[in-house]
Amino acid sequence: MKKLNQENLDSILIQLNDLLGLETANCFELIICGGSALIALGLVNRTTKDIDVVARIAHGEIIDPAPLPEELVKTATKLARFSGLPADWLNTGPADLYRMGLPEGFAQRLVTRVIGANLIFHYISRFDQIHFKLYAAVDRGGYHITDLLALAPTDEEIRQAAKWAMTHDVSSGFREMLEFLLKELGYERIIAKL
Amino acid sequence: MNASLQNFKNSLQEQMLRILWSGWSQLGVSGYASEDWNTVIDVEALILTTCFWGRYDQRLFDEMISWLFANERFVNIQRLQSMIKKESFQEYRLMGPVCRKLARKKLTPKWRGIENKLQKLASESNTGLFLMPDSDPLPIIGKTDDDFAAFGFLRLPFIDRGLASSFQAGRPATLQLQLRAFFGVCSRAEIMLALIMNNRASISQIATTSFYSWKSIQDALFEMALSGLVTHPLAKKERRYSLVEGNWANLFLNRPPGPVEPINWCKLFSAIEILWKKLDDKKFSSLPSQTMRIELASVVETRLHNLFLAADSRIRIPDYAMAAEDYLEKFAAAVMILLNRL
Repeated sequence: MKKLNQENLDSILIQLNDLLGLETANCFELIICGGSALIALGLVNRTTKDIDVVARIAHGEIIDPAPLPEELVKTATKLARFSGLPADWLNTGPADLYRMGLPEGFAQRLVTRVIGANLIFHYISRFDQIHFKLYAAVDRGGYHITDLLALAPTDEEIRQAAKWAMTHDVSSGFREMLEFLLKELGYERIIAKL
Repeated sequence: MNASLQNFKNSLQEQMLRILWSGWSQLGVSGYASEDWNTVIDVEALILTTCFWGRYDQRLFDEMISWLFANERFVNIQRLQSMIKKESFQEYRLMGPVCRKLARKKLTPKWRGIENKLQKLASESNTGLFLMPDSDPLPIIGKTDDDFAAFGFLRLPFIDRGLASSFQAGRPATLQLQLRAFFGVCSRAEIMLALIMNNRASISQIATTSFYSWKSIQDALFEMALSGLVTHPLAKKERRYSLVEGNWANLFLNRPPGPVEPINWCKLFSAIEILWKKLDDKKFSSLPSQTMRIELASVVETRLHNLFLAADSRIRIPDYAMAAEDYLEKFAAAVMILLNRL
């Protein structure tokens, strides 16, 4: 199965845009988080198997990403079928992050890339990546911790991310795990400020 | 434009016009050296696809109309309408003005109904009927044909050159018409065609190729079996019908033809029209090579593969993963091999 990396990400997105142009005159604006956003902005050099759509922009408003527009799904499926990408390479897996509330000032920090006439990607900023990655690291650990460390967050960034993460999961269990993780990652001094 | 794509388009257009001229000439159209195909021409499919390709060749289109003036009584209007409904012919709306021409001749009243149906689908804006090879409309200077204009197609007035003759009996290509001449334009002629071509056939097979309903075929076969000339096993499950022994093909064909090649023209013509529409799409032809391959492979997989296989099982459509960067060239070769056989 093909993976996305710094070398092929742009060309695959251009293909997606060009194929979309055969189906529709509409332009779709997607807000992207996760590994592909890290790769696109040069924040982390790694591969990823998918593109995570956290929200969409329609008529200037940030909206729920799911369901993705039919033409987009059809075209992404077509590209997956003949490019060796996983079937769900373009997905709305992180939609809950949008539904539970995005970090303050999120929209103003988006980094916009016009792929073509039919597709615009808005990548979430490094600051918002820290928020999402901290939340995911507490929840699932693994490569999210690696990504978080690669972003080299400052104390203040970690503090703001932790405060935001606790609004998404208000349970005491989550707070315990968050504090444990912060200790493990060398941010113990932040805990008192939460 | 990608050179391989342009070559494919040129070859496809050239071959289709050759095939159509050859097909029509075997049915009695003048103006082309007649070949002798070892396959039965499907008249309704030929008419519908000539509405598509005839836009690139005015003489072919007009000779078809002349042929219809001379032979329209052998055209199965019910089958034509079912084909329009069920298959993917792209320019069936052009049958509207053709039907109007035929209705004006007052040959048989059957054309009026389809003309009226197609009139409702007529475009409100006018478009040039005949096209240049690159699909730009040919310029029209002078008075236009009112019957065509009523359906939104602009062209110079149609003139019947009156050169079309009746079809020749005894040739495989005209077997469908011969059977209609003998049995009448009805389900029985289509049943006989299916039984002669296939030796044995089920009701659903005959219904599919004849475009008659399952019930019509069942009823007709029931009555035909009472003649003792159509037989079937006692078991009802997967029952297949056949003609009693005897060389039925020899009744209609002059020469021992060898097995007549079974080509499903309806599927073949539909597939080629869909393919041409894609190749001729300016957005498609301006895609970068790799994206173009993906789009073509997707159209082949979702729309063309099954049509081509139903048309002629000998076609070898390349596998996308195996063909990789040569996919367009390999697919083009597979299609051209199929068409060159005709």
